[in-house]
Amino acid sequence: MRLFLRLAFTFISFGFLVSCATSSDQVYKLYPGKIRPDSEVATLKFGPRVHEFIIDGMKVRRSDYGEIKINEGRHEISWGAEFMVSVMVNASGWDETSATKMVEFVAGHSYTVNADRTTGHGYQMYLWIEDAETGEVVAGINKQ
Amino acid sequence: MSKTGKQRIRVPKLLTAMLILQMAGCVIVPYPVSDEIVQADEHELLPSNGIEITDQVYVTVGPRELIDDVSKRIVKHNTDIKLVDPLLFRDTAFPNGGWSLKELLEPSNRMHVSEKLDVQYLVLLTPLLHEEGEEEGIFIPLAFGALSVSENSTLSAIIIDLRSGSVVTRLSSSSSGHGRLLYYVIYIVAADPMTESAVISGLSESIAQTLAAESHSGGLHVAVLALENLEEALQYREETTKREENLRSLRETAEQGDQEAQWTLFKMEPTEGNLIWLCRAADQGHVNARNELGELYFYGSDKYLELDNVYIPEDLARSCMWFNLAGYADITWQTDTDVDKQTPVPYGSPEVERTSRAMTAAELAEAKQLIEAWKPGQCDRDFSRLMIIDNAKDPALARICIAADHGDYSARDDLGRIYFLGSRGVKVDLPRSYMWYSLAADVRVTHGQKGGYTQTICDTITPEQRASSLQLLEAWKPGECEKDLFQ
Repeated sequence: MRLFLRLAFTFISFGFLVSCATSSDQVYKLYPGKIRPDSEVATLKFGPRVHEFIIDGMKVRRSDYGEIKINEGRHEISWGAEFMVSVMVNASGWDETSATKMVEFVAGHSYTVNADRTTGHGYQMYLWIEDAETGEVVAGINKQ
Repeated sequence: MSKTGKQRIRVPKLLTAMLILQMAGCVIVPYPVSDEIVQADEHELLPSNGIEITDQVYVTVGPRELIDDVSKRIVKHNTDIKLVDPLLFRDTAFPNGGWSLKELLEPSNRMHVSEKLDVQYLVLLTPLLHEEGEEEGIFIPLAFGALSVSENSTLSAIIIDLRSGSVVTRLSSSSSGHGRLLYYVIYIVAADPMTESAVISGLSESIAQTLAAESHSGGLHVAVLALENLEEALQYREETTKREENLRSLRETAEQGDQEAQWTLFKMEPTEGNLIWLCRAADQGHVNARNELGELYFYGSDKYLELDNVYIPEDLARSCMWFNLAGYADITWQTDTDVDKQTPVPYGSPEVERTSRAMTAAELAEAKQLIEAWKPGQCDRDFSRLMIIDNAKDPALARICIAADHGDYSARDDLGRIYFLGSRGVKVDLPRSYMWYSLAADVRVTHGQKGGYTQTICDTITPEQRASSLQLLEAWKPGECEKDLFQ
């Protein structure tokens, strides 16, 4: 009985935790016309701490799509992130940051929309978009 | 068994009991949810009443999970309804992108989609909104506490008849509940899905019933998509209207010479077009406006304001002048080299402090001259010299020119290198390269640093080119750079 309770508790806890971190493997075709090969479009992906962004006025959530395919060229993208911080720094226990950038996306390239922070006194929050192939930061400032 | 041993057993048991209770709370704590469906009155369906379809209202398949969920529930309530793939609908309706609802509702477009896909109705979902009400009680996160929170979720849908272009109805579903829970964690997990599920379920049923009532007029092929920005567009319109009225009123007052209105106008829209109001307020002695100019020259426009056609380079002398005119600190008497004469004055801001400490003797002398010569209108005259010329093909190069004219060492050095290497579309011109390196060296000497040219240009330039360069140097005056590069 004791073993059963332990197992039940473990499974319930696991389900409880993974339900908080859903992400989709669906691909969002955010360009008009027929489906084109990856070499002709740019691909956007969510970094670990980014849950949604707005590209050219269209909101995309991590829970809905894992990858977003867009036409190459300049696009306006807005994204942000929330971080838990010490209540000694911010009474709400949270801090947030957001950015809107015009970014030139190149066909055939894959980009990750990122957010991260440093910790401790004088912590900094960073938002950046990185070319997954070259590692080049195409917008924002990355956390070193 | 010893007392310590008993405690060792009790602590894990207690923790396990707490966790089990917490987990069980998710399931057994009752969470009463009520839901309500509101159908808009007929007069509210007119575009002028509530739904203003602007170019910024987009049709989207972005909230995929929500669309899928509502679609499945609609079909479950009415099996006669046939769904059209939302992505296929979007791509057919918008062959060139754009995704604007206004464009879709153009008669030729909606008829084209309706006929091509044999679809009669379009259901557009608005974003699912969730609001938290007032909290009552206290809690210690991840520990014990008693908390009561009201929750409210809303979801709306617009049903459009694609053949007539009319809005059949606008439905709004809301669900509210009130949690009385023992643990903060349970509240977060339990509340949202229950009210959200209730609104999705309630709205889907209403959509199915409405479509069933419409079915006498033909088929029931339906596309379910979502609207992007409708709520934001409505809110934006309201805010924009208020803001425009406020700006209009401020502009009238500013034109009558009210310095506070002039300052507020600039702060509300800190654009290059409104720099004139900043200048006018500063001319009249507005302290904040003068301080703003001090900071603008301290940081330079690239770091402080995003201006398209005006480039303000860092200029400590002018920064000092405006801080001084603002009366924040008597920084004109403070130098690094003349420590004995420093006046201990309170600094108005970190920028004032840094300006006073960073200034060289030459910049201090220039600042003193500027302060003595200052008169109303100076601000405008300074900005007019910082305009980026219209025909500059390379704005970055135009900014370098302005900074170089302004005595910026780095910009002059850059121009020397650009003419030496022939970069940024500029042809190699060794005399001009030598001239800009010379002007850059002048800046360093003026600032008490060691001047000098890069060895490469000295090794490369011929005596004739050097002579030509000296002639250019003698004739040089601010504005030459733009003339050479863009005219």
